[in-house]
This record gives sequence, structure tokens and C-alpha cells, in this order.
Amino acid sequence: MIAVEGITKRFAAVQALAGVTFRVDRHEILGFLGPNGAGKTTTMRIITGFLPADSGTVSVDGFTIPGQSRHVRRGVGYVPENAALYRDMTVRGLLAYFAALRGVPRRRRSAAVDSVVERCVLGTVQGRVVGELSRGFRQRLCLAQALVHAPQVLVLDEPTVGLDPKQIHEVRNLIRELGSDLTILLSSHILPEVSATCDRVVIIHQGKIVAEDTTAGLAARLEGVLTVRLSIRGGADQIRALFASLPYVRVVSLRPGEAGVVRGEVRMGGDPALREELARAVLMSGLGLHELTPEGASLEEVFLELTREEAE
Amino acid sequence: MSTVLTIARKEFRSYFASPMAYVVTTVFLLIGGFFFYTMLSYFSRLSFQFMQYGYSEEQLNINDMVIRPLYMNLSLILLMVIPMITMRLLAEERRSGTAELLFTSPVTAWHVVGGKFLGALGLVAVLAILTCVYPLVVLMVGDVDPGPAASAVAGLFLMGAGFVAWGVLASAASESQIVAAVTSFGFLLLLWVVSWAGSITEGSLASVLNYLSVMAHYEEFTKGILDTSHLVFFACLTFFPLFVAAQLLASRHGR
Repeated sequence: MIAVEGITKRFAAVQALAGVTFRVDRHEILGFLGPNGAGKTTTMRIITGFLPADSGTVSVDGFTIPGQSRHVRRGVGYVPENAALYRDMTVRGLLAYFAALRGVPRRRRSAAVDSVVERCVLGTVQGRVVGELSRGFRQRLCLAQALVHAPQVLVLDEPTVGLDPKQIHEVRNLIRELGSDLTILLSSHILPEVSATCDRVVIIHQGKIVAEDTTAGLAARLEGVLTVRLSIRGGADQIRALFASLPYVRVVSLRPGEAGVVRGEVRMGGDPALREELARAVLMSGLGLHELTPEGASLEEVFLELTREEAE
Repeated sequence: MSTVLTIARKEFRSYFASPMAYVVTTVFLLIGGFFFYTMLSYFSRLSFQFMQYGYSEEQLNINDMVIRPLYMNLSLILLMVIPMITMRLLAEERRSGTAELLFTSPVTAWHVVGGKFLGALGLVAVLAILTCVYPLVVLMVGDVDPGPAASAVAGLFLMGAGFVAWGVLASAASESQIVAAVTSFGFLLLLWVVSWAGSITEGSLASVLNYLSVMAHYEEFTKGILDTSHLVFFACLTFFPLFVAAQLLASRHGR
């Protein structure tokens, strides 16, 4: 549905995008994940036809940018970051305006507005002036304007930034609902956002795609990054020395607990044989092993790991 | 065309959704009224003196002595007011982020430029029409020739269109409303007075400078002279900046 092919973009001295390639399948919710400044917004602006890329192409539903930008824009709804809207218009007026700009025929405009007002639960504020709305309503209105021309593709740039937990929950539910009949590209710099709503994740860092997989697959692929929680009876110095001698272990934290038991967390590879070896090494050096719990790599860790590797 | 009108309507309404339109109209008419009052009082004192000394009143022409200088002054006020009307048109969209919604809609650069231009021109039309109140007042009490007065109003509108077009360009070029207002005001003022330099230079340069002077062209309108050369001048004055603004937006958004 969306195919991004090798797009690059340079702003003065900064190479914002250095050849970004990925695709989004029909009726899929793709999470576009990356730290701030990774190039998420720039990529989305290029896909939505707001900015031209220096090179590369974007095709959406058979139309290609550059060249058919207007056709692409007709089929895409975009929710920019920060939900900027015309503050002096009424909610209905604003929706009708964008319906008209995006080619909804006059006689169907009112129905189109009614439908998104209902879908985004804006009924109670539809006569109000946009500038008076709360952050949550404005975000929903921004979503409504992106849907008013019934697009096939929805592009959402950080849709829950600045919302309170209840509003975040509402917006996520709405996105999941929309995902059943739309193709959605959603960017975020926070993982829970993506793992809560997306089928698949693309991770971007410093203008490059560094990983692309399903939410589950990505975690599995990086199983090597495993956090292991340990409780060991013995001296902290002795334990530290032991870990230092094991090349496959990296100490995250060690703190003395009750009754001479030291608690700690280490990072190591995901192979179970390594955990056996760690247990053996602890016992061999005369320490008492009380606990050894492998904890699955969370997306957050995967993300940290991926972007760190890239930075090194 | 319907897209252009959609944008134009939205822009026009948004002037009236804020105090903007009301403040601009009030200030414009207030200053205009002041000029009108002083000129008319001067004229009536002069004609009273003429009668006292037995000169013929026929030598005094109310068109030449009130309407014409009044509209020359109004055009200068318009020159100051229009940059304030146009400064927000595109700069504000860019600053606030709404430009992303506008330019990701399936509109062309010409739709946007045309819509913004017509929206602001609507307000200028309101101002131009409201100035009709001055000749109408004179018409009620005196002998005014309606022809030159009508062409002065029409000229005010056409010149206003040119000013708005430059304002649209300045607003498209800058993200800051203040910068947009100052640059368009400065440029328009220069265009207004450029013929002063024409009087100290010679040859073809002088004629070019004289031709570029908005004031000189407008003066003909206030005399009731509707010459195509002046219409062409104002058409170019309007079209050229709109063209540049459209090119600017098209290249910025990769169209």
C-alpha cells in the first residue's frame, strides 16, 4: 500500500534521511519508531507530500511521488505532530473546510462531517471554536480532519504526545479500530505506544532504517539481549570479580541485600547454555546461587540495543 | 476554481472571526474621515472667501480639491494597512503548523496563492466600497462629478489588489508575520515614491522609474482617466508577485 524507496533528504548541514526504504501492507498498522531527531517526521512529511525528497520515491496505492503528489495526497489522511489547527474556526466549520479542500462533493460534505464527528466522538463540541478545545479534543479533531475525505491511508505523527493517560487510551483504541479498514503508519519515540497498537515495527535511527520486523519477531531476533536477575550468597567483591572473569556477562547492577545475599542484574546472550554455564561458574567458585531468572527482552531494550549499536 | 474559492472564503471569514477586520476598517475610515473633514472644511472656507471677493465659484472644482487629494491620501493609508492584512496569510500557517494540513491536502500552489489573495482582497474590497461614503456625502450637498470619483474608488481597489499580491508574496517568503509586514510595507512604499528618483535621473532610467511609480498611475485614476496602460500596470503589479509566490510554494513543497 505504501512503498518508500531509498528516500534521502538533507537540511543544510544535516543529512536527515540517508536512504530510507520500507513498505506498509494494506490494512496494516506499522509502527515507525525512533528517538527524537531520527527522521520520523521528515519521512512522514515526504510520504504525505508536504516536503520533497532529495532522491528516492514514495508510492501510495499505485501513485508515485514525485510526479503524482496530488493523487497521493487525495488518498492520504495526515495527523501532524502537535495537532495544529485553525483556532478561530468551529469544529464543524473546520471539518467542512477540509472536506471541501480534499474534494468531497458539496452534497456529501455534511454527511462526511457527521460521520467523522461520530467516529471521533466530537458530538458534544461540534459547534465550539477550536481554540477553546482541550488538548484531547483537539487531538481527536485532528484525527477527524484526517479522516473526513475517507482516505485509504492514515499517517499519524506522534498521535498521543501531550495527552493524559485516559486520553492516550482513547486515542489508541480509536487507532486500533481504524486499523481494521485502513492502512496506518504511526510514528512514536516511545515503545509502549507502538507495541500497544502496531502489527509491525520499523525502527529508524539517524536517518536510516535499522530494523524491521513484527513486534514479536523483533523481540525474538534480539533474544541475545537478555536481562538475568540473580541472588547470590557471598561477598560483593568476590561476585564482581567472578563476573569480570566471564566474557559473556555484563553487570548492570549489584547491591548487597539481607543475610549476606547480593542481588543483581546482568546482561548476557539469550542461549540457555550460557545460563547453565553462569550457574556452574557461580557454584564452582563456592558461592550460593539463590535465584537466576531470565527476563525476556522488552521492545524497549531491543530499541535501545538497536540504536546503540548504530551509534557505536 | 472551487478550491480557490473555498480557501478565499475561509480567509475572508477568518478576518471577521478576529478583531482584525473591524480594527482595520475602523482605523482606515477614521483616518479617511479626518482627511475628508479637513479637506472639505478648507474647500468650504475657500469658496466662502471666493464669494466674498466676488470671484466666480466656477473656478473651484470640488473633485480636484477634495475628492482627488482625499483618494491620494486614502491610497497611502491603504499602503500601510494592507501589509497588516496580508502578513498572516501564509506566515501564520507555517509558524503554527497548519501549513502541514493545507499543503498535504490535494491543492496546488496556485490554489493556495489564489485563495489567500482573493480572501484578503475581499477585505480590501470592503474598505474600497466603504470609502464611497465620502463622495456620497459631497454629492448630497454639492456638485460632484461622479465619474472621477467612481474611477478613484475602482483604482483604489485595483491598486489594493497589487498591494495584496505583494503582501501574499512577503507572507509566503517569511515564517515571521512581522518580517512579512515590514518587507511588504517597505517595498510598497518604495514603489510608491520611486518616481522621486525619476525626477533626478535622466533618459531611459528616469522613464522606467517613472513608469514603476504606483502613485503616478493611481493619480490618473483619480482624475477619471481609465487608460489601458494603467490597467496593464496594475495587472502586472498583481500577477507578478502571485506568480513568484506560487513558484516559491511549489518548490518548497515539491510540486
